[in-house]
This record gives sequence, C-alpha cells and structure tokens, in this order.
Amino acid sequence: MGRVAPYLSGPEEVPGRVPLLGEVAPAFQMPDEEGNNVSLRRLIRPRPLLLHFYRGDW
Amino acid sequence: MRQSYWEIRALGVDLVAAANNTPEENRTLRERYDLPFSILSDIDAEVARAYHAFHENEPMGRNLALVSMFLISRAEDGGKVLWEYVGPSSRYRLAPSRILEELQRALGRTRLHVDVVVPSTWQLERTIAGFQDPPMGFYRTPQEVGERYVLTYRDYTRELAMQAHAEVHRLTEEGWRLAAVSPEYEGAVVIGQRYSFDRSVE
Repeated sequence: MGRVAPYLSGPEEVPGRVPLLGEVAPAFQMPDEEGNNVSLRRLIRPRPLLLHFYRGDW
Repeated sequence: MRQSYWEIRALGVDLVAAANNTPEENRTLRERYDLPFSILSDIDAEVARAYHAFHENEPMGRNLALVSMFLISRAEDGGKVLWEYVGPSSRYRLAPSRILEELQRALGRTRLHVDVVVPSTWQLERTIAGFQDPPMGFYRTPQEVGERYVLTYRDYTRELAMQAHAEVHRLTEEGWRLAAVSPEYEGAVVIGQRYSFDRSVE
C-alpha cells in the first residue's frame, strides 16, 4: 500500500496456474492481529467473503 | 483497498486480508494504514499456496503470496469461489473500480448505491465557534434497505467535511454517476447535502 504498483486494466494470466473458480474454497485457520484463530468456516457464515492476499511486507 | 472497503461492504460482502506476517506485524500495519478490516497471519504463505496464489520464483526467494483476491460464497451457498483474481507478480493490483465491477457481476447485482453526506457550512461554523459539543465522529454506515445497500457519511468538523468532499470527488473520478443531490435534514433543520451516487454493470 505504501509503494506504487501498476493498476491492471484487464485480466493477466499467471502461467500454469490452476484456477479455483467454481471450486469449494480451501478451508483455513489463520491468527488475526490479536492471535485469535479465525476459520474460513466462521468467516463465511453471515455473508460472502472477499479474501485478499497481500505480498506480506507492503 | 481501504478506500473501497465500504463499497465492498455495501455489496453485502465482508473483506479480510492475509499476509505472511506475524500477528504483531499485522497489528502494526493495520494501525499504520488505519485499515477497517482484519489482516490474518498467513505464515510462510501456506494458505496462499492452497489457493494457488503463491509467488513461485520470487526474486528474493521469500515466501510471498501473489497479490490476489477470492470471492467466496456463504457457507450455506457452498463456500465456493465465485470470482478470483491473481496478479502475475506480487506487485500487481487491480484498480478499485474494477474490483467493484467484478464483484457486482459475480454476485449478480446490477446496481450499487453510495450516499455521501457533506455537512453544510452553517453546521461547520457552529461547530468551530464551539456552540456544539465535539463531533460524534466520522462514520459511514452501510444500511440495508431491502435489496438496496446505502452508505452514509455524516460528520461535523471541517476536517471530516473535507474528507467527505474528497470522497465525492473520488467517486466522480472513479466513474460513479451522481444520481441526486438533496438536502439532509436533522428534524426540520438542514444539516448538509446528500450526494447519491450509483453505478451499474451491463
């Protein structure tokens, strides 16, 4: 977020990547900022979810 | 993503981020960027791998995810991937307006509404002159009105009003259509202008 990255205007394929579209999303548990484990199962109980992976160091 | 958060919520979608950081590092990031959503700790990008979003051959050999997004349906709808975007490197991002369009399309929503309330000058002067208690704060509340989701800004300080102005500007820049401008009442008193924006997907 701190650095400027290009915005894409159209979809760009990642070579060799197998898409997950239409599949059941892989289950996970990850700790939040307070160290509490959060599961996908709980996250998608009330509403659909947008899961966003960042590069990690921003 | 911070800018788009409430528009995403207005679509009835929750947002959560994941990054290969410790919870403490994520807490620092969240505070630094004032993020309204949670960042989960994906140590060694294990979950990113499960989502086929691991950055293979990362130049520095780090375990990083590709910048990517997955729209997942509710548990009762099967928890399926309704839409995905995976950038070709960890530096690539999708423009916020584009993300919203893709989400709308994937959810089958054809229209999205956002309301921004910019307080009137009179209200600002009254606040600055100190005749009124300090502001309750700046908030945007997604309200569900039947099938329609509405976001509202209400604020009572100059700084917050400027943010509301900036938001009107940003929405215009991002291609939202200004559908209506109407006075905002509190009781019988006009406290500002309500800008109603919408956008539709073909």
